[in-house]
Amino acid sequence: MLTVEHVTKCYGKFAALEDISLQFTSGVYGLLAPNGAGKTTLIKMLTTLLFPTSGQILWEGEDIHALDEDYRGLLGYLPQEFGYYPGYTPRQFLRYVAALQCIPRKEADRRISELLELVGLSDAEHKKMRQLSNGMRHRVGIAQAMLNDPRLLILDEPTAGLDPRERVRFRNLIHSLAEDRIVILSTHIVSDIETIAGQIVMLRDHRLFCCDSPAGICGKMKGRVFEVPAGTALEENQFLLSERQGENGTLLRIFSDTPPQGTVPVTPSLEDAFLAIYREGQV
Amino acid sequence: MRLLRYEWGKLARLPAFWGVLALCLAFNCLLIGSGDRWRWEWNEAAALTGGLGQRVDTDFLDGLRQQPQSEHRDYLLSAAEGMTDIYVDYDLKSLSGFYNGYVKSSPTAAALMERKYDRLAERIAHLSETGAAMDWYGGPASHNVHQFLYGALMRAILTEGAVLGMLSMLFLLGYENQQRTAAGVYASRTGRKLCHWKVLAGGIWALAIYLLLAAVTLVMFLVFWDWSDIWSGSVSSQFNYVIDMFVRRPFFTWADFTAGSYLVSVVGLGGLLTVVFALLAAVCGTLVQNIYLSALALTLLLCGGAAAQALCAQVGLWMGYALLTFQPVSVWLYVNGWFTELGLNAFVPWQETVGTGLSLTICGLGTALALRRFGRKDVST
Repeated sequence: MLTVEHVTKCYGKFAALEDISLQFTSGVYGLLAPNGAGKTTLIKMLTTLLFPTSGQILWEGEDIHALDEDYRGLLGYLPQEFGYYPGYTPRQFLRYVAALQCIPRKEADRRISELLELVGLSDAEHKKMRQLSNGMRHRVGIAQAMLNDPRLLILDEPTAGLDPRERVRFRNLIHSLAEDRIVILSTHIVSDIETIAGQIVMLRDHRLFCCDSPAGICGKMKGRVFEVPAGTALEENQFLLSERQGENGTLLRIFSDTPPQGTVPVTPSLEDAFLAIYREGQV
Repeated sequence: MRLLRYEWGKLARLPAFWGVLALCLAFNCLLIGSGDRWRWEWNEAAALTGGLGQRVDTDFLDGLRQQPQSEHRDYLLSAAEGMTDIYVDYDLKSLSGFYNGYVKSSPTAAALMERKYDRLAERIAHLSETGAAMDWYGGPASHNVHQFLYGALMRAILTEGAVLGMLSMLFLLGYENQQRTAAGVYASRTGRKLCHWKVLAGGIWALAIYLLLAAVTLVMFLVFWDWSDIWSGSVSSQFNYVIDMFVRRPFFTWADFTAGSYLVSVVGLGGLLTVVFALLAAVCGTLVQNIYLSALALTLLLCGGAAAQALCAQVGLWMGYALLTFQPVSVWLYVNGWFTELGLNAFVPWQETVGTGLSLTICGLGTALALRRFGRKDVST
């Protein structure tokens, strides 16, 4: 179990994250917040790249910085910006990562073959990384994160730059990997996680806003999301969430604590919740 | 070991590195060619004195007289016949007085300088006992060729080795940030300790490149210059001398060096100095983690040290100057006089060795502290 206890991270006087407390057990966690909310800061602290200014992060009750390599040895991480060595082939790059993860050469070769198969790169394993498409490189990134069969898999904005087909493929892959490990998936794209995440962690104003299931979060919005025809003047306490094309023209999807006249509430989606929570540029 | 190989692989995959190395070797070839004006004289002397031994005694003179008569043989013969043991009654006072005069405003620096020349007096007495002055070495061409080999060729090798070593170290330490792999790499099981491997790989690589440059260049030099009978001759032969601040003095060494042992010692110390420069780069590279910024910091550090030394001499801060003569740049500057008294460039016997040892210790400690700091700070990606 991974526990975040009252963690704060400051850069000078600026608090990027304040008093975050969370508990992670097996399953997929979606870390959902707009850009700049502190997702990557939290992830970098979970991966030991950043030190908390205060508070601590515990793995099975022990501080992750004290556990040092023992902790990182059970961690798989795909950074937001997955860097690679352009002159290496996927197999060479994965061998290098295996060396960093202290995986014996023979075991690494076996595992690399399995993972290249899993991410559909067996045919491209001898191509230089610079010759691969963004999506293929991303799959190498996922393979490198899985190389040590991690108990904790952290993926920061893993679908950025992927086309819709690759996104679906990626979601399916994550779903299959999440059975017996903690998967933390950071994104600001709601569709990436609404179907696979058991729990959604939301940050607002650099603090923890909620940690709940998608159904729980949507449930809190029940009776507060409505659709009105385009052109309807919005009142002060009504916020525009999105627009969509209905059968009789454009519809405005709005958030309001009180139902507008002549409308009925619609079933809120996770995207509605996201837009309502982060309305008016709040992060 | 696997990680070391991967770090070396990153350097080996760099075409620019091999290009620069090839340019260095080409430059060294040109440099060897530029010494042609002494080569004929040197090789001719080697041919005439070959098999006569290095000590100029009756047998040597008889042997030389038996060589076919030629203008050059007569020239060498007159030089050999005129040899006397210059160390027997060598007057050190004028030399020590000259340098003491410079530093007298600083009592500590003056005391150090005086002590150095007291020790040198003991060495001169020893050299007169061994008769080192009567060794032929390379005959009248000794000074020019010795200065060519150590002042030009070895300086070039050392400079190239140090520069390539420093750049390699900076490249390795900034590589992950440049390739944007830092986050993934430092979150792995090895984590920030990868920098330990990088420093080790960079240090070994710098030394290996220096030794490669030295081996190739010296082999090329020895192909064209006949040193076959020279190796056992003392470098303190009266034909060998150094000129510093327009003052000429014999090649007083702090130990009995033959031409062979001197070359091996210079190459060896050069290797250690290359490691010192690589470690300096390691400190900058570990702290800055950006190839270009750390190169700038390193340049400022090296040039700043040399400038500070020159400034201390200008304003008469001789104790500050004395301390700064131990810095690696200063040691590098007087490579052509290593293991000698070095005039104003040295305040203790074996200054270059002590300086290199101190620099190695300080840079080693500095690297350890920089790595420790890196292990405890946020990774900026």
